Amino acid sequence: MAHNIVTVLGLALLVFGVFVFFSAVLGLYRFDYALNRMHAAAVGDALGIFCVLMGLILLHGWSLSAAKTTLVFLFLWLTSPVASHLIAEMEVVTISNIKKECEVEER
Amino acid sequence: MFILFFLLWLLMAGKVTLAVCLWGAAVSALMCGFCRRVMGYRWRWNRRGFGQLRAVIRYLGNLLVEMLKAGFVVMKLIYTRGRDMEPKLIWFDTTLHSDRARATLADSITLTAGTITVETREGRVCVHALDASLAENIEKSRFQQELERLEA
Repeated sequence: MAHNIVTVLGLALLVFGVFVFFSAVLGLYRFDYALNRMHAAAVGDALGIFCVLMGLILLHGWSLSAAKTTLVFLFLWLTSPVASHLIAEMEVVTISNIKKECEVEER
Repeated sequence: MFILFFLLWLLMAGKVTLAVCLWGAAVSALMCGFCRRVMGYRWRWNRRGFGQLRAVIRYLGNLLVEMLKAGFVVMKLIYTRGRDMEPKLIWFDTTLHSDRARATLADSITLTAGTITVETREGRVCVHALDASLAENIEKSRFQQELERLEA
């Protein structure tokens, strides 16, 4: 019984993760500016990856593969913000008039 | 640090044999030496280490919850085609002093969908927010408060 519940939960997370990735791709088309599109992609990086990998861990049970999957979490979440910083910085530095795309506020 | 590298080696190897352990010990020692000499890492015993470990775990838990919550908020914006969305680029001062704490704050902000750290320079942080509501009180965020406590 418990095994069935865990399997259903794992499958639900996996399917929801795929839906999150679909939403992220849809966001890339719906948003109209590079920095806004990066936020859509970030949904896949955070929520999508979490749901898919947690689903896989639940489906496989706690094993060596699950431990390696946890490492995938760690490395993805350590490296993806660094790539995002660089792309965002490049966009802000190279755009001729950032104020046309978004409000700039100094606090 | 040696133990961490060695455990990582065992995890990637997937089995524990004499050959794997010997190679693992040699590679871990080499990596340890590289990190100490080239990157300047030092392992220091800290009496507050246990308390700090609890605070770090709590911080990571909060980060995970915030990441998941922000993911749902941005998904909602995607499906409403960003109706009434106000993207903003915000500069604010951080009260954090160490480079490590500032980098952690910047990474935490970026991992939370809806906000991306564009730049950190001399205590000033530049954040792009998909909507103004996502950047309310960002300069007094929970991440910053917890990092201040960890830094103290």
